[in-house]
Amino acid sequence: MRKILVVEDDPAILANTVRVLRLEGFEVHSARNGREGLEQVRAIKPELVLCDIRMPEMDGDELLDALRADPATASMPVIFATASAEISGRAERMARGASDYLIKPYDFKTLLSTTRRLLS
Amino acid sequence: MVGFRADELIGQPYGLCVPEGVIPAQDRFLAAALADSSKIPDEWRIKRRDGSSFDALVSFRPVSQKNGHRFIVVTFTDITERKSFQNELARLIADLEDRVRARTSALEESERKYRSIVDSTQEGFWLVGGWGRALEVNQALCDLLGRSAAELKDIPPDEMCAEPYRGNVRSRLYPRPRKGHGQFEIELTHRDGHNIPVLINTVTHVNDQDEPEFGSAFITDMTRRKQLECSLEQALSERKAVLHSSLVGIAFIRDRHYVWTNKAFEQNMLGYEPGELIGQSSLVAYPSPKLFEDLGPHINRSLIDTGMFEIEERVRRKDGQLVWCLISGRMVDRSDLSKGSIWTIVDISKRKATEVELLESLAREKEASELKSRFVSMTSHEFRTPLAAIMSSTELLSDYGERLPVDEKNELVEVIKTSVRRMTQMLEDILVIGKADAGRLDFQPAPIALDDLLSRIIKDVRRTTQTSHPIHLENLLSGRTLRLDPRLLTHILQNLLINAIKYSPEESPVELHVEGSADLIRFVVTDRGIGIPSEDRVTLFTSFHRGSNVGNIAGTGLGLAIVKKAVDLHGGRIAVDSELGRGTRFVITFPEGRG
Repeated sequence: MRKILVVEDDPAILANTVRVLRLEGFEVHSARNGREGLEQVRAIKPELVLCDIRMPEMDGDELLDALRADPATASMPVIFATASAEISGRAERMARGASDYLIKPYDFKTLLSTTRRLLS
Repeated sequence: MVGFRADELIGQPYGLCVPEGVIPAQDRFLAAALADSSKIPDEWRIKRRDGSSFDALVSFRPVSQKNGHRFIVVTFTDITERKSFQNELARLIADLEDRVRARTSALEESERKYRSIVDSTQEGFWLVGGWGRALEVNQALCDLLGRSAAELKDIPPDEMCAEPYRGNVRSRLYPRPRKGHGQFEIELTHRDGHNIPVLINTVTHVNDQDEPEFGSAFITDMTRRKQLECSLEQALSERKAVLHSSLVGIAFIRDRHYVWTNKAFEQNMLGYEPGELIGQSSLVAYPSPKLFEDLGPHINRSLIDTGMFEIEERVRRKDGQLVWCLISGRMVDRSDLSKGSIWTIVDISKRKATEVELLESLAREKEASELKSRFVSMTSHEFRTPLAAIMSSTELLSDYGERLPVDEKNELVEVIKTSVRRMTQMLEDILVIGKADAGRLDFQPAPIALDDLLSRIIKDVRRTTQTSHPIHLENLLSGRTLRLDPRLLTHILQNLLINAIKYSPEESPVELHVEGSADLIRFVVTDRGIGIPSEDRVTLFTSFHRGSNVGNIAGTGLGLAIVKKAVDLHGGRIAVDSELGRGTRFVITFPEGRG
C-alpha cells in the first residue's frame, strides 16, 4: 500500500481526508501541525505528504523547508492544500518546492488524481 | 696809493695814473679846474702802477703865486669802502622794493580768492561787525532773501530773522566776547514775507588783543532738506504703521537679541506687553534652549551663504504655549552679519493642525483600506475552511455513503452542521459590526433567565469550536433574571469564550465567572493562553485588528470590536488584564440591569 501523511489542523477536514484516502486504498497517517508532521515523516517515511499551510506551532511552509533541507526527503512529493486563495500563493509555494497546490474547498477527484499522478 | 715813489711821479704827466677820458686834456683841465671846479667830476678811477685801480674822491684847490703863476692842488681820498657800502645799500633797497611788490600782489591774490569763494559759494555769507552791522554779504544770500547787497548791509541781520529767532541771532551771530564757532538752525524771512529754514555756521574772529572784531556766518538753505526730512518722517511713520498693522509678525534681531518687533509678533503672537521683548535674547521664543543652541550655527551659515533662512518651527509664547510658525530671516547687509537680520513670522498653527488632521485622516484611510483587504483575505480563508469540511463530508456521503457505517455518516452530517454554524457565526459577526459601524445596532433589553442563556451560549461555543478545552462556569447569580439585551450579551460572551479557546493551548481550562452586587453585574472570562502584547492594547477593540502574536490562528479581527460595541450599548465597562504567555482576563461590568 502506498503510504501517505496528511497534515491538517482542522479536525473535520483531517478526518474526512484520511477517510477518503483510506477508502481509495492508501495507507494514511495524520498529523495536526507541522511539528507533528515532521516527526511522522521521520518515523513512518511516507511516499507523499498532503499538507495544510496555516497551522499552529509549525506551519506548512516551515515543514516543506525542513523536508527539502533533508536529503532523505528532499524529493518527497508534497501537496499543499490551503484556504488561502491569494494568486501569489501558488507560484510562491511551487517555487519553494511544493509538488502541487490545491485550494480549499477542492473535490476528491482532484485530490485523488493529483495524488496518483505524483506517486506514479 | 698808486704804487710809485714820489720822485718817480715828479715830472710825469698826471695821465700816468688817471685813466684817459676821465678828465679833459691837460690844458683844458687846468682851465676848467681854475674856472669852475664843479664841472670836473669829483670821483675818479685811479690806476695803480700794477694795473689795478680804485675809486678816489678828488678835490681841487687853485693856488696863485705872487709871480702870477697859478697851480692846482689836487687831493685824492681812497673811497673804495664807501663805494662798496653804497652799492650794498642800493641792492638792499631794490630787494625791499621787490618784496613789497610781491606782498602786495599776494594780498591782491588773497583778496581775489576770498571774493571768489564768497561770491561763488552756494551758501549765503554774512560778515557782521560790532553792533550788528553787516559788513559784507554775498550774492547767494541776496538771492536767498530776495534783497540787494546794499539793502542787506543796511538792515541788521537779526531783523532778517523770523521773530522767534532774533535774540538767538543777536547772541550768536554778532561778534562775541570769545573767539569760537557755532552752528544753529533758524528761519530767515524773505522779502516777500515767507520764512526760510536755514542752518547757520558762525565764527567769531578776534583781534590781537583777543577782542571780538567781527563775526562771519555761512547760511545754508534747509528748505529742501526740511522737505526731505518731513517726507522721510512721513514715510517712516507710514512704514511703521504698515509694519505694526501687518498680520505677519516682524522682528529685527541683532546678535540674537530683539532690537525691534511689530505688534503682531510681540503682542498678538507671543503675548508680551509692548516693548517687553526689546533687548531680550531670542532664546525666549525658542521651544527649547537646546534648539536655540543647535539652530544658531545653521541660521548663521545659511544667512552668510544664501542671505536668508527659513524654517517651520514652534515659537514659545510668554505663557509657555507653543505655536507653529513659518519663520523667514534675511540679512540687513549680506556682507555683514553684525548689522542684524529681519525676520517675518507667520502663524501656521491652523495649517499645521489641518496638515496633522489630513495626515491622520490619510493614515486612518490607509489603515482602513489595509484592514479591509486583510478582512477580505481573512474572511475568504475563514469561509473556505468550513466550506472544505462541508464539501468533503458531502462527497463522502454521496460517493462513499454505502461503504460507511451509520455512526460515521451521522458524524459527517454533524460536521456539515457545525461548519454551517461557523459560517453563520462569521456572517453574523460581519453583519453586527456593519450595523454597529452604521449606528444601527439596537439595544433591546429584556428580562433574561441567566442560567438558560449561559448554558446555551456555552453549548454553542463548544459546538462551533469543537473544543477540547474545559469551560468552567461559576455563576453566582444563578436563578436570577436580569434585564439585559440577550442578543448582545450572547455576542459578548460567545466572542470572549471563542477567543479564550482559540488563543490558549488545547485542554487548558477557560473560565466564565458571573457575579453581581446591588447595582452592577460582572462577567469575567479568563484563559491561560498566549496573552495580548501591550502594544496591541490600543487597537484591541478596533475592527479587523488582530494581535501581533496570533500567528496562524484563524480569525477575522471582529470579535472584540463586537464585544466592545455591545458593552457600550449596555452602558457597561470592559477591562482587560493580560500577561504574555500566561493568559488573559476580560472583565465586563454592567450597571444594574436587574429584571
